[in-house]
Amino acid sequence: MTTLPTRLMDSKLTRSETTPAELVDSNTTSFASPPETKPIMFSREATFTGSTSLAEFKGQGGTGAKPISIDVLYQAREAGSRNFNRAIELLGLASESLSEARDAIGDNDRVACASELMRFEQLLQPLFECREIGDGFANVINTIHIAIANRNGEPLTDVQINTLWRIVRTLLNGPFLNFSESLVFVRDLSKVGLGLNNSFFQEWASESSTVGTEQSVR
Amino acid sequence: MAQSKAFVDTTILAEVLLKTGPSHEAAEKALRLYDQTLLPVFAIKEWKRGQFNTYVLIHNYLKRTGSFSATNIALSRLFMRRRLQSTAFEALGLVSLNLPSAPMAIVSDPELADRFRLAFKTLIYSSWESRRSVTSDTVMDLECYVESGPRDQINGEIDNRPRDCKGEQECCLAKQLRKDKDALIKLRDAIPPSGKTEDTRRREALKKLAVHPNSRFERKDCQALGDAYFALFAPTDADILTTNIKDHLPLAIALGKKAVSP
Repeated sequence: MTTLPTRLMDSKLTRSETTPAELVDSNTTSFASPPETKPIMFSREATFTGSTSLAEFKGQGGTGAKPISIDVLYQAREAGSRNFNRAIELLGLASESLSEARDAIGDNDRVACASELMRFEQLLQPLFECREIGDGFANVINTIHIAIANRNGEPLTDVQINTLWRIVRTLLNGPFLNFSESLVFVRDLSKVGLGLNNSFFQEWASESSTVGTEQSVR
Repeated sequence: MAQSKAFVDTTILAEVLLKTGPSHEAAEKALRLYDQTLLPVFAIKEWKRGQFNTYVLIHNYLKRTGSFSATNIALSRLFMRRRLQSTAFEALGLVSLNLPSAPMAIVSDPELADRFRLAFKTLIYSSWESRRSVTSDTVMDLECYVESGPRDQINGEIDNRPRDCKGEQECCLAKQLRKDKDALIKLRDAIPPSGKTEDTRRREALKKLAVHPNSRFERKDCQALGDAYFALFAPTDADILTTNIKDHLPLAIALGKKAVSP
């Protein structure tokens, strides 16, 4: 099976050279713009000085925690920022597709609706690739993705499309969910028949059902 | 007209909270047949130590290794699975996910681990939240057991403690159980000579209560009671609802009670 290069996928997904804010559908009442990327500036000297201080602290009976290198911290922040921008861009496209699908339902145009939903489904994989922005965000995307896979090609109902549209719009306004918050969306999805219900999870776990109760979990 | 009642055991709880498919639907349907369904906290305790704990264990492996493949191999070793063909099982995992717009070749091992980890985490937290809404009533709280839920740790793993009751004191059920020596003897005699460790331990626990009332009834004895707990504590006007009818039926009959399978 051939693998689509990320670049190619990107180009397929991008509809126009618009900014993420412009991609939000007209019904969106508010939009939280991504923060400007202003990396925290640390000089090499400052890093060195800080590390030395920590080492000294450790030597004096400190916590023993390893200091995080500024290089690692900076890279993580950059990656997070890239993922955030990408996620917002993709969520904008997803919101647009679902809005179009809803309009198509109103016009009784099932072909246009199916076409928009296919476009939406293609966004789920790249959206999951932005999962570094948080477990809550990743969990909602993963649940939607698996739930759609579980339908084995059966078309989504109007209620399901509406629920997805509502959730995607909420994510667009604030993708930084914690895990508990994501469970609210997962429950909403489950109520309209878009649940995890994947028997593989069960089978995988039941293969392990012989686990001794004395096994340590931690 | 008397209300119909069911005394729900651990297998039904596990079926409703963590499983899917026909057996899950049958369990839910069976619960709806009764006016009142009673879930003893003992069943929650057993479930948390058993199937729920397995889900936490899997989640933590996925988090720790960041790899579906490594987790699968680790679990195979740990659980001594008969089916050790981890590669074949991984392929099954990929096919099972069958994600639209995600060709199998681009679903990497770390991504698969994350997808499974998130799914397990959802099942863990959702099922815990729902445990007391499976039945109409949750009954018989245990004085020596703290029903506390899973917690996230700083490293991203889930802490499932406490999984057991407090070990420092005698089991809070002991006093009540010792009151009915006849029932204990009847239950002990009703356990079939299957040779299973589980049955042997249950027989010993019942004997300890009936024959040695002054010896301390400990945590391991309470755990060994298992199915016998449901026969002993089910109200006389309630059916014991279980998917494990084979083990429950002789115990229920011994005490003139009824066990029912969905």
